[in-house]
Amino acid sequence: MTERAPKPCDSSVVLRVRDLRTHFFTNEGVVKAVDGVDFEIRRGEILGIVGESGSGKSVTGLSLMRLVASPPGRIVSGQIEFGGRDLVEASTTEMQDIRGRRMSMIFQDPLTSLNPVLRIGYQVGEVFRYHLGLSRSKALHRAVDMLRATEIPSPDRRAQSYPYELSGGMRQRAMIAMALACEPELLIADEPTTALDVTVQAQVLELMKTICRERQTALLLITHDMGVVAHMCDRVAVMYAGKIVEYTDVHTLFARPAHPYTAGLLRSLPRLGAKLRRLASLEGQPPRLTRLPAGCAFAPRCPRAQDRCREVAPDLTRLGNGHQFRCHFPLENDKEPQA
Amino acid sequence: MLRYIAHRLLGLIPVLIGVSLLVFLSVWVIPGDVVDIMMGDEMAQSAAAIERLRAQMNLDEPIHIRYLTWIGNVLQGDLGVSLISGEPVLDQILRRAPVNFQLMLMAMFFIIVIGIPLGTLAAYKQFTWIDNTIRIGAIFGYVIPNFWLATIAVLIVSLYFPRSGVLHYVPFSEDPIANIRGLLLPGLVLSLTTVTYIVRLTRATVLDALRQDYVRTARAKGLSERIVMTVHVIPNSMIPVATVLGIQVGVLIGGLVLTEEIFMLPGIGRMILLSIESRDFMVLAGSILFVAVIFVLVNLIIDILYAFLDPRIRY
Repeated sequence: MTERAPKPCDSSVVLRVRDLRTHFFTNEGVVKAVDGVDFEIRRGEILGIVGESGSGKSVTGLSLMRLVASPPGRIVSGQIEFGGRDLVEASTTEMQDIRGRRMSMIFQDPLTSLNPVLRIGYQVGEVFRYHLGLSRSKALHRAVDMLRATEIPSPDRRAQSYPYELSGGMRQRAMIAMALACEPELLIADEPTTALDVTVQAQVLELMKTICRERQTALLLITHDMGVVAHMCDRVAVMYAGKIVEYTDVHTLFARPAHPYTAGLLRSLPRLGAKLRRLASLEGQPPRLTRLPAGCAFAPRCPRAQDRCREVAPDLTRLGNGHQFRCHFPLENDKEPQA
Repeated sequence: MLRYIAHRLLGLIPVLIGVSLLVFLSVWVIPGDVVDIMMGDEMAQSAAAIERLRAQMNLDEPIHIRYLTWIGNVLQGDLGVSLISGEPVLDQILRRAPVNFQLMLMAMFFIIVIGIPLGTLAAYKQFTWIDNTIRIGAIFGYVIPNFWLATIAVLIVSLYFPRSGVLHYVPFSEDPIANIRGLLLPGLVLSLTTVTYIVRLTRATVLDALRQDYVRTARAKGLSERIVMTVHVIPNSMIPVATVLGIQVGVLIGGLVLTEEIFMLPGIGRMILLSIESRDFMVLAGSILFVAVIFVLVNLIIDILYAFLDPRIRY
């Protein structure tokens, strides 16, 4: 474990998020979708953000890009340090310059995420035209190169295709080509393979991993799939009700989870070689974000919850190996000495 | 594509047969005929002369024979002659059609340059005072009847700007500028209802497009709002608008009886009205058939344009 342990102050940090809070001001009240999130990501690193629907993981990704629909959403506090700049304070034009060039994002459904009436090559080429100022034909040329880099067969022909003419996996490859065209420092992938067939999923994930490793692109992978996390990530942040409840390297997460929620997620995974029995599932539903309980948001579903959990929200506990979690009564299977 | 067009053109045949039958039957059920109108009071005097006249015009034959004779001639490009003036119907149509065509172009111009930008602006500024003003204005425009607006426009112009020449129709071949000046006001009045409708439709479709994932992708690429709107939002939101515009082209060419009456334009609408009054069924049948053909052809063109707007549609 020690060789993976991150140095506390690393110059290769691409993105550092501090106390990010993104709230939605709706008629039913304030939805604290992201409520005090801290994490950082280094060059070439793959950080996973895991959580159920509504845990705030997608809003976190959109907040980084400053693409949260406003109204009703707004980043109410926090810092997003990226390229020596706090993106929370950045102007719209600054953000337009950063998006797609230094920080890109791909989304869950590649069919709806591509414009149905424009050719693939044009859509990929747009990034070159508006960020690098290339002519339309040069941009198309570069787009074909990018399509080739994402292993799309006969990229010349595919560049002339419309999105509906491509398979799901092919479309997501085109999205990846678009996102990585300007060699950004950070790629945010929001459930990139959820809409794809299982076999295609593995190929697309493998491709993303290879390209990001080759180009030393940091990857923020948002997913609900622990299997994807195990396969892809270096470190993982587990989100619940707008907060990161556990944050550690992937090995510790799977071997010695501290938070009962993480443990619950892991128990719901089928394991190869284990005896066939009913998979455990987490009881209950994620809380409504307009009416969060006073204490720990997970307490109503937590098998270990005590009175204190329902009254006081747990602070962040940091272990020496970089393992962080928010729990009054963590699982005791972490053998390393406490800091 | 060519096969599709050929297919659609063949599909026109039953439509036009249906239209011509309807036209013919409706002429038949109108009480009285052209001879009654022509002879007036003298009718009682010489029943024999009247019968002779009817026979001359083939009005004494049964309806199906008359229909078959007529349609046979139409298929050979002969729409017959006016029962009143004796002028060939086709000549009359071709003399009057340019008025309607110009009027349609004029109205379309206003519909497109006013309706689409206002609708887009309202959507982009949703729930702001700009959006609210445009929406309320559109409702007002929609409920004002065309004939009322036309009458008021004529009234105001003739009272306060009697020498402006705005109310005088001059054929394009005589004086193009005066011609356009004369059609400006009718075109504007005519476009109003459709403008307001297009504003509301465009607002809805642009709002819908703005919510789409690919717009988020476009923003995530770092495109400016101007590019996002012009390249990604507006083309997608124009697909339903094109349908409505297509139908309007047909409506604008065809049935503008009131506008033509009020502005005294020598168009097809007035010709249809006059032919009904005089029971001149040759002119009536011919001009309605002409309008129907134009209507169907315009819709065919719109369907073909669709394929260019939306590549998912391939015929």
